[in-house]
Amino acid sequence: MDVATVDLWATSGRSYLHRASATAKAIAAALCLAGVIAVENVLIVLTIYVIALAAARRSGIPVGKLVMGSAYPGVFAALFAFAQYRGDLVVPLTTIAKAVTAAAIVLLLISTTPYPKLFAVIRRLLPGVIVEVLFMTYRSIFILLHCLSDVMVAVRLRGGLVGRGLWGRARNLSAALALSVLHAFDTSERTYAVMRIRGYSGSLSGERAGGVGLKELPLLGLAAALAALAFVFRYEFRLLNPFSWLPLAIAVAVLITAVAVPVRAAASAAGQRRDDEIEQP
Amino acid sequence: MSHLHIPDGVLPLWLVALGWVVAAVYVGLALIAVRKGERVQLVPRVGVVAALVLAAMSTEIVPIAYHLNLTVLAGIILGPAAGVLAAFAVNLILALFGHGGVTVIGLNTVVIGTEVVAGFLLFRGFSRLVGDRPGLAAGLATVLALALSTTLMIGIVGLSRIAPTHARDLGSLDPKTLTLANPFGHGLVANRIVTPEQGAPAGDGGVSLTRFAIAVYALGAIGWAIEATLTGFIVSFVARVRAELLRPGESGVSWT
Repeated sequence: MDVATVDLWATSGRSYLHRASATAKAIAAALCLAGVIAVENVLIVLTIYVIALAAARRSGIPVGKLVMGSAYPGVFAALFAFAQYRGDLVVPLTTIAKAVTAAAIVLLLISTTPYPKLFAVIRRLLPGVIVEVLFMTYRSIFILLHCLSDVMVAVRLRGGLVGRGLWGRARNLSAALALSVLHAFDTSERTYAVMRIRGYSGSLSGERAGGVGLKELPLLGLAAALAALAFVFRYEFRLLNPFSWLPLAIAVAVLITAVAVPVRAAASAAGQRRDDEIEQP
Repeated sequence: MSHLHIPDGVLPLWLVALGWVVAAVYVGLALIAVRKGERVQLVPRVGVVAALVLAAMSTEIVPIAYHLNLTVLAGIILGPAAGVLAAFAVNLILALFGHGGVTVIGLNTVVIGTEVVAGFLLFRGFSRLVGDRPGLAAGLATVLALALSTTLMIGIVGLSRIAPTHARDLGSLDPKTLTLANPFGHGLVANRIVTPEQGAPAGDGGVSLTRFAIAVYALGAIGWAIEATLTGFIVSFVARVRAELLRPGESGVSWT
């Protein structure tokens, strides 16, 4: 998934999820992930997935892009699922569904939470230098992509990727990559030095994770309900399995409603502007 | 694909917890090894290399379900300590982007951290053997480090004793196949696809693991060759224009 696009969604959205505190969203994501981990019923896993899609829709995140983004780990999970196949598709499908659903949950989290706020949550759990590394890694992605883009234009203009055979092209491509890395080193070191001079000592201004207030209760309630559903189906599976279609049916109805009811005009317009900006070359 | 793409909830929790403990030791040792005064230069450098690794890992070679890692390159440029920090950062951000489970960040840090450290040590070893051909040394180090980490990854899957023959018994669609076994009968640590009482017949797990290993080694070997070529070229280029990055002590960053 394109990091710049996700970053844009996170910073420019105005939906309920965007406005909720990062701490509450992290807790909600953790609850949903716990549910995905616990449950072995593929229909319940899909229930959580569909609810995540509905939440994305109401937050102005393009559902199609979230589906594509969350499908990526499914490709790799398929390799593991292949090893599980014994003439019964349910088990491999559950494995793939778990991978895709967990991905959708975390993608929804980062698509609605600016990264400084997300790192502020992580700061509570990890040493400061790790968070600094995380921050610089995230910044460096953009620096590196920018350098790589410039270098690749230069390589193409000089015909570096035409002819020369596969080996020659690989050599040129690697040189371009290496040059980008060296440029990125210099740029990143300068950026960091400037940040230090301007008073950066491991934390960014405005990077507050926020607490959990009344407005976050619906989010936490929904997440807790999904986790409880998963745990109940895990624990009482003999009794409940025949009814496992029911939560999925409800979730699908929620998704259809979420798609059918227009997102608020302002949010839609903002989303359209974002899409236009993203589509521009 | 030298690290675990196993989703959350498949590996037993004791293994997941063990992974976190070992990863914490790795990262703790790395933090001790990286001297405080060096962080001003090290943090941005680790950031760039981690970003490069992230970009590589996000580029999937679809037909063989492989993605580049460039972790050996990270080990060569950053050294083992900073390389482990980069590995942890990469895994954390990858998990945030849904690429790999959140709970397996610890295990993946162990696997990729091993890859980084092995890559660094092998590069130094091969550099002495092949002389003034850093690209070749890097290529050889890449193949061996990836083979090692892939074996470690398969070992972890084997250690988890995942034998999914009866996995649907834990709550899948058909209630007729359900046993009376309580999935929490052995506590949360028994959270895995097959509970002991439903254990697969001897050999079943092995067949599954063998199939998994064959698939990973067969597809991975193609990826290792691509990655070794790319890493070799990159190191060769860096050696020509910024050789100090490949030499201990001259880059201003600790190689401890």
